[in-house]
Amino acid sequence: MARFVFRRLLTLIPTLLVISIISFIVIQLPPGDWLSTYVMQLAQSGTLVDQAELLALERRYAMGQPMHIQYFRWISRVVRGDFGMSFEYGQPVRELIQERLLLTVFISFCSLIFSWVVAFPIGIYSAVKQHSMGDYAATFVGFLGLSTPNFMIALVLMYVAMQHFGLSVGGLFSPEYVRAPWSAARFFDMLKNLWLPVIIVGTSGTATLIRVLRNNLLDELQKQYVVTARAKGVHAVRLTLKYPVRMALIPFVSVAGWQLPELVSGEMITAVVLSLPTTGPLLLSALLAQDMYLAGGFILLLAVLMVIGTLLSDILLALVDPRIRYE
Amino acid sequence: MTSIKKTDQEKEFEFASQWQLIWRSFRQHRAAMICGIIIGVMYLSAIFAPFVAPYDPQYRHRGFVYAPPQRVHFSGDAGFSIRPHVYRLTSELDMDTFERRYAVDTDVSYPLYFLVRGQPYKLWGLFRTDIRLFGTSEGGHVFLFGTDGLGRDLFTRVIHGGTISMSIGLVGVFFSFVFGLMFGGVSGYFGGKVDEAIQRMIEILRSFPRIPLWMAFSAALPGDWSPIRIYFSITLILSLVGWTELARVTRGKVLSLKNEDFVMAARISGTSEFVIIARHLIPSFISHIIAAITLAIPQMILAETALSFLGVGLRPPVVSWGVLLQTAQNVHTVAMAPWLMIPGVFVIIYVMAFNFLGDGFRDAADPYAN
Amino acid sequence: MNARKILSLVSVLLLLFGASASAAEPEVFATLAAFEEATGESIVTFNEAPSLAERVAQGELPPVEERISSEPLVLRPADAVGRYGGSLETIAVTATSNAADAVNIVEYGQQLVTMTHDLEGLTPNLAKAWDMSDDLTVLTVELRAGVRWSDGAPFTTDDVMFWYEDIILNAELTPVVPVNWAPGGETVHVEKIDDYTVSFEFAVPHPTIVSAMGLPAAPRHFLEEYHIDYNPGADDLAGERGFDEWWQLFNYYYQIETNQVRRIEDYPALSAWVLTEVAQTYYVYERNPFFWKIDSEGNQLPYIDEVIRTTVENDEVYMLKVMSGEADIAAFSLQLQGYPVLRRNEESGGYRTMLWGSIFGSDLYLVPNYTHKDEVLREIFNDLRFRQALSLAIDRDEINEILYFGQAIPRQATALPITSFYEDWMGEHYAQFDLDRANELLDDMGLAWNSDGTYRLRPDGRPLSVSIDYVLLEGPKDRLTELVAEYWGNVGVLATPQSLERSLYQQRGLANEGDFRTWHLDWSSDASMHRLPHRYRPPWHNPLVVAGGKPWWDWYESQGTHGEEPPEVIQHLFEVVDQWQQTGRGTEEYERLGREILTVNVENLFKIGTVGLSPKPVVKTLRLANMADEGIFGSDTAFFGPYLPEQWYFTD
Repeated sequence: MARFVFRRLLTLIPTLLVISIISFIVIQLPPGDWLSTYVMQLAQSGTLVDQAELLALERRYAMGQPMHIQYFRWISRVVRGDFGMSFEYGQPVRELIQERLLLTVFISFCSLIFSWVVAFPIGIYSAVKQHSMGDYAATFVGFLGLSTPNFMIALVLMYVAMQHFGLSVGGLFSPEYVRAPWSAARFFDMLKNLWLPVIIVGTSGTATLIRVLRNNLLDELQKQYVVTARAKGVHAVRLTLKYPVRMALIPFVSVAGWQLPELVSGEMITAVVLSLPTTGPLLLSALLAQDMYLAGGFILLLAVLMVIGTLLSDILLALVDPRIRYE
Repeated sequence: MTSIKKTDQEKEFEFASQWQLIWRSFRQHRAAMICGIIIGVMYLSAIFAPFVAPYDPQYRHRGFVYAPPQRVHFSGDAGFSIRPHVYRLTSELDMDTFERRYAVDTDVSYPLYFLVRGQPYKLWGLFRTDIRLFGTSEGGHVFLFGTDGLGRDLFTRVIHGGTISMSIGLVGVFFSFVFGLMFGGVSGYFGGKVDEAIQRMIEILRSFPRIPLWMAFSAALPGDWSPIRIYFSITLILSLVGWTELARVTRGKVLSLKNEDFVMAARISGTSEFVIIARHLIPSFISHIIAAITLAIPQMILAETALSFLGVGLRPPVVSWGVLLQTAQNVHTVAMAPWLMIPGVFVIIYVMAFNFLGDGFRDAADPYAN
Repeated sequence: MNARKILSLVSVLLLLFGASASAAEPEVFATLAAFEEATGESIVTFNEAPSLAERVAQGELPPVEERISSEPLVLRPADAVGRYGGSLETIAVTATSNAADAVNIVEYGQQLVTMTHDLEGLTPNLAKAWDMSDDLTVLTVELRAGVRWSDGAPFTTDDVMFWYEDIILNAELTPVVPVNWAPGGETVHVEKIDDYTVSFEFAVPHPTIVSAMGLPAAPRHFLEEYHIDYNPGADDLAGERGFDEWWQLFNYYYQIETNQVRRIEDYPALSAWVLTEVAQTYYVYERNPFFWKIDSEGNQLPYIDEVIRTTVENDEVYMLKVMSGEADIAAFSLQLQGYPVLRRNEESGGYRTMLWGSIFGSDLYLVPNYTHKDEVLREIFNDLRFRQALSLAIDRDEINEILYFGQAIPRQATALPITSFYEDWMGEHYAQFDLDRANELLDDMGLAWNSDGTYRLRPDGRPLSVSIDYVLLEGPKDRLTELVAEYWGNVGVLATPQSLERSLYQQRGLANEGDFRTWHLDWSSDASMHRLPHRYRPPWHNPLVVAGGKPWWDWYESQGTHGEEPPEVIQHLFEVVDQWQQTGRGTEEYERLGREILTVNVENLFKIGTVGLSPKPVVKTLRLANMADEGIFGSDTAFFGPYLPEQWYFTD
């Protein structure tokens, strides 16, 4: 087991290196740089900006150097935990990201749990009662979240919440708690506002889980031991839940790891529409404004989180299913 | 009598080809069957979009800005009639609140006819005609889904948008298919270092947040490209990220098959590696691939709408479901012109149908399982 | 008249006459003495907000008499003397954007001189008086005596000199001096005359500096610590904070890029409210205890305790929050198209929706690329008949009806009607809808139709097809360009609107790419145009963004060494603009030259206009008093600034 983990850890190093390079290329790819976006921002609000100011800025931010030099400057600092300064905020990238990452992880985690809770019964039911009306109905509900564009449903739900229930929209706190320090009451207030993003993000992941669970269970149900047990008259529900479901859950674990990127992407769009103080909107605006270090640091961090998530689920899988270790 | 018939059936089963067996098992999945038909109809209407749509997608109806959908009536003053008709809409602008109010004028009705002469168009750029599937009499108007902010018929635009969006799904998946099959096949068959490298590549691509990747590539497209070039580039971009799932399925299947006896046999008899993969391996799991593809197509559509939402996908004047949804993405629309979100319903139907279809395929993919 | 010394009293009188039209306008008196002289009233005792009185009682603050400066500015509130208290909720899209309702409410107040909201006059602010020499090269400014920064440190000409000597003249902090402070290529010379008087000397006449100078000063007492000339350890200090160089940390506080939102808590300021808390989703600006304005009864301003700026991520959430009454004042991200929805929720949201004037001479103007790389297109674009035809082909009334509820004005792309040298014909020039005439003009040019009669051909036989670049911001530019493209298609010119991402748009402009480029026509009133005439000479936009004809600008800027030599009329235009910029406002010469600039622009239709002056929805809560019901909203007037937010108050 230790060897397996060690080997996986070792392969992590080149992976991370490549990811850092891609991150950097990705933020450099679009034409122009942060300064061009900045100029346009000023032009939009009708603010004066002249060539002189731009030259000064260009110098100040050391733009215009060759890409590989910029990369090495960046990565050598990142290794030491210094992600550089955001042009847009004039603040260290690490501070900006820290603030939001925790919440993103929390929402993603809740969404993951939510999609499991929804997918679990639907998956089992639709495997046991394959091709029944109930199967179709349950699967329909499960797929609905996947099929609905997140941004559309988010706006509609927000409008309905505001117009018909008089709820405060945008953000995670009711107005009276926005400025309050953290407390139990504030936490519960957050939970009250959290259901909307969690449902929207969570439901878009349920379909995959339902499918995996259903297919695995179908395979498992045909196996000899199930048939034998059934023939011996073991109660149907108990039988299903006791062994096949357990077996079918094994691949579920690995899927959970693969689900992380989906969740984060889904969270990103949803968070932009719902205006949540998570990483999504910040990353999106950094990308649009070509705020190089902020966007780069973000992408890198998210990618690393994904890799670690996948690694964890791999290890988990190896623990549950000894066969994997020797593959 | 009955026993003979049964034997026939058994015989039929025993001698049926793989595809016949798949079809047989697929038919059991009723939802998949229905969804298959729905998808068929959608693609048909996309292929014949200019014929199905009563108007040109860019044609503006003067005086009908943000007109709500019209109801099709079968009965009127004269009682029930087979010929469906719609009533005239009249509008007025409230000069205090600037709200446009539409009223149904039941005095004037426009009967709907099938195969009427309407605005001329060129089908597939080849046939010049003016026959439309349905329409009203001269001087009338029919807006099944209402009109948009410039007075363009939404039904027409949804149908035309489908052509672009649904073909993005197909084209994009085709690219994914090629990449996925190639990398997955090679990875699974050769194993070792090659496998390791490709697996790492997939891992990197999968762990990389998708949206920044899309945005960077789309933003890097030159500004003076024609909409059609942008369109193809965007499908390519989408498939660039989308092929990993297919590669994973392919690899898994190849891994499990490559040590089977028939592959051994082929190898011993000196067949080249390429031929083994292409002639013997791929056909034996193609059904699984089809299932995987079916599930990948709707992902493409969702990705297309997401790109449009982010402002880096297709843009007007191109008409796609993503573009239509993006222009409907504001409070004003949700509150005053909710019908502009109908394209979203089409996305939902399409994605849902493909998912059921894909599940049906998947269940049927391994006909020997039962 | 030799020196046009604008004494405080004179400006007050000017203001009084100017303001006589409406009763509910706040009046500004340069100093307490000026107030007493003008009104005969006198103020003996001064009051302050209860929260400040408490702090005085606890010995944390000096008494109010000492905090309001020895020469406080006196404001007679618009409707009534207000009551203290409350917090003004505002919303902003994105955390860093300066395009936020709060920014101009909070920070507008700390300029030396401010503009009145009708764009006509100047108001004394931190400067109680100023004087421009006859040759328009020397500006002498008299600061209000005894003003203090928000942390209590005195504000004097030393702060101006610190700004000049240690920031502007410091090559590391200011590698290149902004044009505003170096007209004619030579950096301003600043001299301290006494603690409250300072003079700015320019190499060439520079009349626009008065309204454009902002706050040429920096809190010396605060910034010294971070400046290498004052603190040899400044580099180490910067290193400890994660910066490479001292000037980076200095900039972190000073923020030379003043167009970005200040994010430093408790940074010394001179405005009515100062930033005290920066959080992820909101900023808090609390009242400045040392604010130097009082109302006509001696109450220290502002009335409202604090201003909150809540950050949302997009315009839709902004809109929803406004609709639910969570904003006390809002305008920035509201569009006319959303007006019906705003009206619908007025009752439940407890607010009122007003329609204010806009500063856009045209909501969308189009400029062909006169220096196009394609010789054939270039020749077509430079033919006046082509531009006349395209202008006549646009059905402006229909645009107005479809997109603006008929509330905008169909007009050519030119200055606002309130501009002193504007003439009515300019807005109407070739702004009619006349397809026959348009076709006639194009036929005249020899642009024949193709055999199907679906489009016109270029002289080289290819289809005449152009793209229209736009960036989707400030109004419905997507639908506007779609309509324009359709209209042009009707006269045989194939046009494709092309929505571009901001930076791509900018890059294409700099690279002299694109056929037609578009923007909204701001910078089109007296003061703004005089200060920055970019919309009225090549490239008809900021040279860093470009609408069309960038090589012509390069030629002008490099004095003929780079770029392309423009035709005679453009060379003449450049000259006239330069001359005009050095002419004092209000003179006959100023109006003559200004009129000539507009005339050359309009007659040649360098810019093609659509509709302009569309009203801007502005929302205010019903509880807010002393806030104008009518006005102009835009960058020219610094948005809410000139409506004097310090005298707004809540009625409950």
